[in-house]
Parts: sequence; C-alpha cells; structure tokens
Amino acid sequence: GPLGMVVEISLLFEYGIDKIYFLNDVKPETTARHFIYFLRPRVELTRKIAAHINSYRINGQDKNYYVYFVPRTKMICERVFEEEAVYDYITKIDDYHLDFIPLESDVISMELPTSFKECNLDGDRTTLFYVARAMMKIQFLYGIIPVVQGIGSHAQLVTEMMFRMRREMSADEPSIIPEIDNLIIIDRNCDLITPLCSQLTYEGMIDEVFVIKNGTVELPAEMVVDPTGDKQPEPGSKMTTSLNSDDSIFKETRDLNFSVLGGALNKKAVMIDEYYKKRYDAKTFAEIRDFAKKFKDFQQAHGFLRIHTNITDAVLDITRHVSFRKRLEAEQGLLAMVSPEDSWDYLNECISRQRPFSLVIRLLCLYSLTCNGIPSNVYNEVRKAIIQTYGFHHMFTLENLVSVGLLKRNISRGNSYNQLLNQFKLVVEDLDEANPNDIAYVYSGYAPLSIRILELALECKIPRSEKEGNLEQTEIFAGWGDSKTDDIMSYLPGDDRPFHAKQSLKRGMNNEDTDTNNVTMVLFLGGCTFTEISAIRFLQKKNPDREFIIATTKIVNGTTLIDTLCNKI
Amino acid sequence: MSAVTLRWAQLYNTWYRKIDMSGDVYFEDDFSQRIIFACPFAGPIAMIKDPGMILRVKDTTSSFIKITSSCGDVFCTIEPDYYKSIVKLGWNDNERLVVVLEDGTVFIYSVHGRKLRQFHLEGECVTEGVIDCHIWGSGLVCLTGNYQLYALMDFEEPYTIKLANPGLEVEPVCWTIIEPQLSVINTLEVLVATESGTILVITRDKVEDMVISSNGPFSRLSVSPNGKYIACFTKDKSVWIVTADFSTNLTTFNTKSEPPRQLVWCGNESVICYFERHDPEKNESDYLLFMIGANLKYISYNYNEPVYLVPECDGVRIIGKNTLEFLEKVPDVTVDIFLEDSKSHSSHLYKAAELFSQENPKADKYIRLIGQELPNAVDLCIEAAGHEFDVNIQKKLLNAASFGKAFLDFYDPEYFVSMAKDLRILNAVRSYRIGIPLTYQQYNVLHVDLLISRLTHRHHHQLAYEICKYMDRRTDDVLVHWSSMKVQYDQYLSDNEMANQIVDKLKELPGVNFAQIAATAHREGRKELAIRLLDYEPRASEQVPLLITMDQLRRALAKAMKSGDTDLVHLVLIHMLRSPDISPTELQEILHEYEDVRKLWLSLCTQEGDSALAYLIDAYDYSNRPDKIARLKIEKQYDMGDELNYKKLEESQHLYEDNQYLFESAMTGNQIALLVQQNVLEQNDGRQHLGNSLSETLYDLYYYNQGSQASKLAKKFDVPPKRLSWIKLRALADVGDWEEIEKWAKNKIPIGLVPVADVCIDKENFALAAKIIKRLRNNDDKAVLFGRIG
Repeated sequence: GPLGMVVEISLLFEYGIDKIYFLNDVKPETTARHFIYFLRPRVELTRKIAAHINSYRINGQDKNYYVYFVPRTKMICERVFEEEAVYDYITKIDDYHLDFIPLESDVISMELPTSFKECNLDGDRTTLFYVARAMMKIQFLYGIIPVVQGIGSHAQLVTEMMFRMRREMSADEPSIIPEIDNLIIIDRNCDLITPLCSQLTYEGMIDEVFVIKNGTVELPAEMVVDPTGDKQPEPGSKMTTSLNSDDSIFKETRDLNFSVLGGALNKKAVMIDEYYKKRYDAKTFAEIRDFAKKFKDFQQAHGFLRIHTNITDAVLDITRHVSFRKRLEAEQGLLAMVSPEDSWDYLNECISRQRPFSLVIRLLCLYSLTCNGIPSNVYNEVRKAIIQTYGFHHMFTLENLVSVGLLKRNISRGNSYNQLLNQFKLVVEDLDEANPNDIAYVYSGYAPLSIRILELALECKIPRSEKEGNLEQTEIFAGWGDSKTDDIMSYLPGDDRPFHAKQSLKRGMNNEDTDTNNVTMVLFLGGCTFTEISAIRFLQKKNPDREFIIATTKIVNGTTLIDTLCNKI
Repeated sequence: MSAVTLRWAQLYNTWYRKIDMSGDVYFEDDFSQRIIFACPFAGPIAMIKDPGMILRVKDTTSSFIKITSSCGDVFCTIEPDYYKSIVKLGWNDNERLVVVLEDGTVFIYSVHGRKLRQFHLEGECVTEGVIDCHIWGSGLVCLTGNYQLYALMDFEEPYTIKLANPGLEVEPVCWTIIEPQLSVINTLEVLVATESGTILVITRDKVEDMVISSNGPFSRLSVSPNGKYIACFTKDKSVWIVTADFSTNLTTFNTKSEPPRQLVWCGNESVICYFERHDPEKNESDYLLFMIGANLKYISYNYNEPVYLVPECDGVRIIGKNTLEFLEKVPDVTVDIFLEDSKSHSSHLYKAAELFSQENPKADKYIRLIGQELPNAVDLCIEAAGHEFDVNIQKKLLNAASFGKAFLDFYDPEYFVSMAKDLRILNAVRSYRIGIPLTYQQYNVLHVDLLISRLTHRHHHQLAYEICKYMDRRTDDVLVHWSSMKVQYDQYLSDNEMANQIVDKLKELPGVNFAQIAATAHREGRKELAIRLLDYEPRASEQVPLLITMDQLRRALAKAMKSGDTDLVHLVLIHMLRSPDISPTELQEILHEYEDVRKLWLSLCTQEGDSALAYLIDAYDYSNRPDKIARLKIEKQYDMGDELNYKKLEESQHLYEDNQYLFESAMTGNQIALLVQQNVLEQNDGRQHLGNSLSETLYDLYYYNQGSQASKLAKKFDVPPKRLSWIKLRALADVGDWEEIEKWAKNKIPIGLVPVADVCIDKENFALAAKIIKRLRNNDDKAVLFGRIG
C-alpha cells in the first residue's frame, strides 16, 4: 500500500514494529500487545477493527489499540466504534495527515482511488476537502501560488476552499517567496474521453496490461529473474518490481509510443553491448579506469534492460493480436469520427463474445461521449445485451455510468464532439511517433483533451496580482483572461467553465523578476492517466524553461476508473 | 557609589543585597493570622485565615480566600462554602489559583476569583481523603489519608497517577517534591522524611530509601531552585545541606534553635531560616531571617513584623504587612562595577562616564585604562543595568555603556536596544499600579509571552497590548481576552454597539478567534451578539460547533456547507436528526432545499449501512424516487447473499412497474424468469446455473451438448441470433467439438464464416480453417486469413 511509499518498511522494524498485517476480517494471531492501525476513514474498514477488538476481548486478551485515520478522522467512523461499543478500549484515535505522496520527482499523488466516484456518483466531496488541505500544506512549504487557473466545478470548489483555508490560517502564513508560479486545476469531468482510450505509451500499456499500483507492478517471476542466475523462480509465481525513473532504461522509454519501443530498446542494447566490447579495446590505464567507473551503471542498466525487453515482448505480443488492432480501430474510428458505425458493430461483437466487462464499458462510454449519446433506438437493446451477458446487477452499474455522465441516451440533434474535435484539434494526422511533434503521439493520433486544455491554459499568461497583503478575500474570475481561448473553451460540453484567480502575496514575496523559477503545478481532480503524464513531460521538453509538477488524486486508467463505478455485488 | 552598596552584606566571598520596595506596599491583613500562598515570578498572593488563630480571635466573618498582588492590592475575595475542607492553595504557571480539598476536589480560579474549572482527583484521594498537598507550576502531588502519593502532572489534562507505595505506617514528619523539570532523571520525585529518621525518594515506579540514620527525623526539607541541593533541618537543630542524591554532604550548621517557621533557599548558594519567637513575659515577638552561606558564615536580618518568604529562582521575596523586599546574591557584574576599589574594566567605564558628566578630564584616563576591553566593558554595563530596580542607576549604567560605545568604531547596538526595551517593560510592570516586582533574571526565565498572558489575565489589557506591539508580537490573545471581558462586564451596551466596538478593535488582525468571544457572549446569554460575532469567525471548524450549541442548526448547516468540510456537515445533520425542534419532514425539506447536502446525506446513510436504511428510504420517498428504493432493496438482497430469491425480487419489480420504470421493470422480470429457468435446469442436469448470467448459462448448455435447451432458452429471452451464434461458437471451440462446428458451418451462420475461421486458427485447427476459408466469398478476408495460417 501507500505506506511503503512514505517509509522504509525496515525502518519500522528498527523501531520495534513486530509485524505488518493488511487489515482484513481475520484478526492477527499474535502475542503483541500494541496495535497501530492505519486506514482510510471508511466505515467497512472501521468495522473490521471493531471486530478485531471485540474478538480479542472475548478471548480475554487485553491490548492497546492506536487508530490513525489517513488523512483525517471522520465522525462516521468514530460512530462505528461507539456503535460497536469498543470506543473506550481504544487508546488513541488520531489523524495521520498523509497528503500528497511523491511517486516521481515530478509526480505526486493523494492515492485516493475512489475520489472520482465519490465526488460524481455519491456527491460526497470529502476528497476535494482533503485535496484543498493538501494544497495548503504545499503552499505552506513552497509559498502561496500567485496564479490559479482551473476548469470545472470541482476545480472551482477546491479553489474556493483553498482561499477560505488561507483566510482561516492567515495568522500562521509563512513568508516564503513562491516557488510555484501557477497552479492549473483540471477536473476529470471536463475530459472523460481520455481515460477511456487505450493508452499507447510504454508505461500506459504496462498499466493497461499488468496494472501499476503505487509505482510497482506485479510480473510473472520468469520475466524478472535472470535466466542465467542460480535461483530460478517457481513457475507461475509473481514478483513485484518497482517502476520509476531510478531505472535508467525505464526513464528513457516510459513516455515512448509503443510503436517505437522495440527500436529504442534495441538501441540501448547495442549501446550496452558496445560498452562491454570496450573491455577488449581498453588499453591505456585511463581507459580501463573509465571502463570500470561506468561498469556498475551499465551492469545495472543491463539488468533493467532484460526486464524491459521481457515486458516489451509481452506488451507487443498483445499489440500484434487482431483483437487489439480491432479495438484500436474502433476507438480511433470514434475519436476521429470516421466510422462510428463500425465501432458500434465491434462493440456489439465484443458483448456477444463476452470480452472483459471493463473493455466493453470503456468502448460503450467512448461511443456515448463522442456520438452525443447512444442512439435512442438501440439504447435499451445494448443495455439489455450487457445485462444478459454480464449479469443483472450491472443494471445498476449502467445507472451509475449515466449518473456520472459517461453514458447517455441520445435525445438531441447535433454533436458537440465534432466541434471539440475541430476547436481543440483532437486528432492529428501525419504524426511521427519516433520524433513526436505533438502530444497526440501518446494515443497514436488522438491528443488528450485534458492536455489540450492545459496547453490553452499555459498560453494565457495571467499576470500576478499587484496587491500586497492577504486580508481581502481573493476573487475568482470567469475565463482565463484571453477572449480567444475563452471562446475555444466555450465549446466544452456541460456547464464547466474556466476560471482564474490571483492570490495576493505578502509584502516582499512578489519576486517575479527572477526567471529561475518557472514552475507550473498541474492538479488533476479525479485522477489522471500515465499518458497524460507523458504528454505533460512532452510539453516540458518543448518548453525547457518551464518545469511541471503533476499532482493528482490518483493515477487511473479507464479500467480502474470504471471499476470504482461498478456495482460491487 | 556608596549609596548603591550601602545595603550590601558579605557572606564569605559573596555579596547579598536587599532591594526594598516597601514604599509601595500595604496589606490589609495581619500576617500573623494568615496562611500565605504566593505565586512565584512576583505573582499574586492568596491568603486564608490561619485555622490555629480561629480559636483565639472570635472572627466569624473571615472564612474567605483573599487574592492580592505582590504589593497588597486586593484583586478579590472568594467566600467558598467548602472553606473548612481546604487542604492547600497554590498557583500554576498561568497565575491561576489551585485549591485542593480533602475529598480530592480541585478548583481552578482566575486571579479575579472566577471559577474556571473544577475536577476530581481519583483513587484513594477520594476514598481515603487528601491530608496534604504540594502544588507546582503545572501539577500537584497529594498525600492521602493512608499515606499514599498521587500525582497530577498537567492541570490541562487532569489525569491522576499513583506513585510507588512508600509503605508508611505513620504520617511523614515532613515532605517535599523535586519538580520534574528540575529533576536529574526528568521525572517527578517526592522526598519524604519519615518518623524513623530516613528519607525516602519516591517516583512513579519506585521507592528508594536514602538510608540516613544519624541526624533524622527531619522537620524541614527544602530543594534549591536548580534542584541540585537539599536543605534539611535535623533533629539536633542543624541545617544540613546535601546534594540532591544525598551522596555528598556540603555543610552542617547548628542553629541551636527550634525548627524554623520557614526553611528556604536564597538562590542556589545560601539557605534562609525564618524564625518567629514570642517572648510571653515581655509580650514581644521577634522575627529573624538567618541566612547561612558557605564556610559556616551567616547573616541575620531582623524584622519588626511577621513576614513570609517566597523563594524565587534567583533569590527570596520577603513580604509582610508593610514589607516588600527582594533578597538576592548581588550579580557578579554588579559587584565588579560598584564595589569599592574595583579594578574591573566595567567599573572603569562607569567611573569614566561619571567623571565625564562632571566635566572632569580624568574620564579620559579611565577610558585608556580599559583599552582593548572596551566592548566587553560596554556589554557588562548594559547587563548590570538589567539587574537594577532603581531607574536612576539603570540610566547611569546605560549612559556609561553609550559613553563607552562612542569610543568604538563598530558596536552592534542590538544588545543595548533589547536591554532598553526589557527595562522599559520591567519598570512598567514593577510600578505599584501593576505590582509585579520581577527581576531581570526572573523575567528571562518566565519569558515575555507568559508575562503578557499574566498581564492580560489580570485585565491589564492596555499594557499587555502595548508590550505586544513593542516586542513585535501578535496581539490576538490580548484583544480576544479584552473582548471577552467586555462582553462579560459591559452588560448595558447594546448588541449592535458591542459588536461594532469589538470588530473595530479586531479588524486589523487576520484570522483572529472570534468564536472564543462569541462563546463568551453565548455563555452570558447574549445569543444575538454571539451570532453576530460568529459571522466574523473565519474558521468553520470553530463556527459550526458553537452554532450547534446555540441551536442555530440551519445557520450551522449553511456555514458547514460553505467550508467544504463534509465532516462538519455531517455533524450538523446528526444534530438536526436528534433535535426535537426539527421534525422528520422538516429535515427532508431541508435536504431537498440543498442538493449537495442531500447527496452527502444519502452517501453517509449508505455507508452507515443497516442502521440508516430507514433514513435513506425516507429521503428517496420524499424526493419521489421509487426506483431508488427498488434498487436499494435489490442491493440489500444481494448484500445478504439472498440474490437467488426471486420471490423477493418481485417486490422491487412491482415497485418499478407501478411507477413506469419500464426498462428496469422488464430487466428485473427477466432476471426473475432466468432464475426460474435456471432452477429447472439445475434440477435436470445437476450442474450449477443459478447466479450465472443468461449468456453464461447459454454457453454452459452448448458446452455440455445441450444445444436444444440453449435454443429454447435463447428464444424465451429474445437473444439475437448473432449473439447466440458467438456464444455457440465459443462454447463449441472451447470444448473442441469441431465436428459440430463443421456441421453447423455448412448452414448459413448469422455472423458469417470469418469468425469461425478465426476461431479455428486461434485454436490451431488449421485443416478446418482452410476448409472454411475456401468457402469465403470476400477475397480480402481470404487473403488475410490464409496469411495467418501461413
């Protein structure tokens, strides 16, 4: 879990932790007397702890319980303890303010997988409150962010909360020259299309195929272990491997389109090979020393290369398959509005063949979003087909999809997606995937709408507020201060409109002259995908004097997003 | 110069001086008939009548606690009904009076006699009663009737802990404590002098006998301000000074007297015995301070009235009816400057400045004598200024320092400035109007923030406010306290006027705690004022709970919603649910009014599970969503693992049907029909079907060669032929029934032949694949598929 990302587990053992258990129904069988629970403030988890305590009590075991809710205690959870009559046996109930967790030097995540569902389906916006508080912590450490831009009602809500919290805490506001120039908040609701598409970057594909969890991926052991080594894994066993930029091979390949992946790895292999060959060429002492100095790096890279070659083989195997090609064609047919009918037929074929539920739903929702809903005459038919194929309870999953706007029945003429397509140039022809010139490379032609919005936001240079002090209320203005951009943004469907605000800084903190810090923080509410991160990194390469920090509630993909909306029965 | 040293006295190689502030003092009460409890750091004094005197003087009116300043200014008198059961009074660090009663009750009062808090000690403090008690700045220790010790370490969190059992049979002769912050082992230590003559050191975990047999039992014990030494009054009338671990004897001084009334330390280098002797023949009393220093040296001071000694960290405060003095070791810097014949650089500088002011050219000689040491001499003069109470001498010393500064090319003025500031503050609080005769050293130990807080709570808001401004500190606490007091005492001011005045004062402060003032207003019964003030509170987390206490639930809800803190919204909703003033229909109306709250409420009820089911149904009922109720019922049924019970599903189906949810009704109906069919199938073929989807059931039937059953079922549920073909193809291929596939493929298949060929290739039945591909009409398909066979 995320705990492993903030503390070395071995350190916990050094501090006398006996053993770490995952919270489940069965209480740990141990003689230890002190229990520390870390959990999200969710009722069902809290009930499990209550059950543990009651079960120990029945056995006459007297233990000390310390319960830490991450990131904050909720009253509803404390009520569970009261209801189950264990409140008095708990030594301490407190908050553990684990907010943003760094996943990479440029990516931080709240690791709140259900944020999208809670905000949009349940109408419970607690996670937005957590985000606002986390943002206050960031501003507490790195200075008040002078310019905030955003799109979407949730983004506006978070912004309002941030401003309110700033007023609440104004007494303690530190005097720090801002290190982050502007914050751009993007609500997942403004772009539901992107996560539904199949990710085509290396990292995105690993996520789609193997599922990346908290920066690690579980792989069949034989893909990880050196086949020439002594220890060979048991067949069928799995191994967890970290995926991050410490891995020199992954660092350079993670953002690449899959079509150029093989070539890139090949190049790396050749480079390593050449290095090894140098051993024989090294004649002078200096050359040998140079060789030895790099040996460790290359040896490590060699190990990484083996793993990535295996992963790539597995991934490319899938891409070569007919079904992958057909699915991609279906998606692209919708995205480019070339042949939605073929995509529809393919969707029906998928249902008939009982292809994985999430794939079917992703395509169904993509159809609904790009074609202004499901045509009335087939709306009931397709829903019936899904229910008959995947089970009755998915009637409610479909209801959920309608509630959050991923699915609708076509009731009006015209199609706003056509306008989006043109205004935002969502589909790029003549794309060179090897030397990409546009973010569209991450989906081999489709430019993620969210990042197009980000590009527009970046073009609007909003000056900082000239006022000093922090007493007055910070005002939120509609639009991004550029009529052309605002005009384009007005083509977004729904009621989500862009807004911006300028936070006044304390006296002497407005240090705009120094060009050194040109940092933009992009905050995704409801999650972002690996492809979106890759696209932002691409933007960074294009503008080397701007640095991006990507913050999100969770890294998601279409499947994990749909999963949270599935009726769990 | 002699004027300064006039009242100095030498004790071996150190000098002591008395700073006399008696001019400002007048106590109404006769100290001989009072028990005095003084707060350290020149704090206030509490006194009660000496119970021994009650017998002698028929005085029925004086069963009160009186609180005065160090100078005798009366703050208040409290007339408690528990007067007779008082065990001890004491003061905490915030100048709050602590009163401990026999039954373990503890009261905390403000200096103005307002009861702030009350709590009870636990355990044997209650059952056996408290017979004695020691109180220090943050906690207290009690001796119970059965000679057990209980401690409370923090008045803020009054939680009683039992110390190790000292195992006493009889009451100790005398006992005292070493405060945790002074103890070497960083924990509270209690020293108990037993009847048997030894001393026990007791902590929470253990009792240690110091095994002292020679000169006990001890009738007085006193711990030095730094906690390192103990003074004991022995059986043979000696003062015995020993290190706190009782390992090293330092001095034994025989006083040849009965035990003194008080035995206290004066700083860390001398001990004072205070004797009160009454000569019945002459009917005269004599009061003697007897100070014992190193090398058996002593100084004695006589008084003509009874006094009380208050040990401070750097000396002793002596108070009497007409007396206020501070007895201290003269600081070394002061000695160096003022002592006759001093050859120190600082004294040269002081002399030079004196001479300069007299326009005497000799001044130059002294400056040259100092030479390189001038910066140091300047520092020392500044420091010495701090130790003076006399403003004139302060000025002279600072003058000397600035005179010296003039000879220096570079001197950092920081020290001079901060000392001047500190002295201004000290002179202000020392004035009899305020009555806090702090020394410079005490001021540093106490810290200016605590001084500000003490001034605030003594209602010296103006001075506290000015010190805040002067020392560049936030004025929140002072102004909030001022406002609260104003609300409390200014009862005739209208709400409007009051709010305006307060807001006017506080508007310069961002984030000031209006909730605290509002809470005071609410306590004083001024609800409208409280509500008005709360509107200025920026923190919803402070605002909402108070509004709830004030029964302003709708207002609380609005504020909670605005904050985005869902937990606060939940808090208000729960109170609304329980409130007798809000009927269930009204609650629904409120929920209906605020869409966001309604959604949150539904979500919370859903999370809460069974106990909140009724609320959910109420809410859906009110918003006319029978489909949601139907869904809720079905979900509940699944939750309980009862999803196969189709009879129960019928309920929901009716609910859908009756309310024109046709699709949902049809789907639920289908599910019921499917369950019925699956039941029949299970009985026929003995395999598990219940719980599978329709497609899965069809697949199973094809897989197990029950094709005709499958067709029947498909027909019943209107499965389109294309989908049925896919299911059939998949099942047959999976089971490997190629014969059947070949046979089937001879007819016209709804999905055409391409998928069939595809499946054959996937399953590596290339022979059949080839046969089928040959029959294809589309050449492109043919080519692709042949390509795949290779």
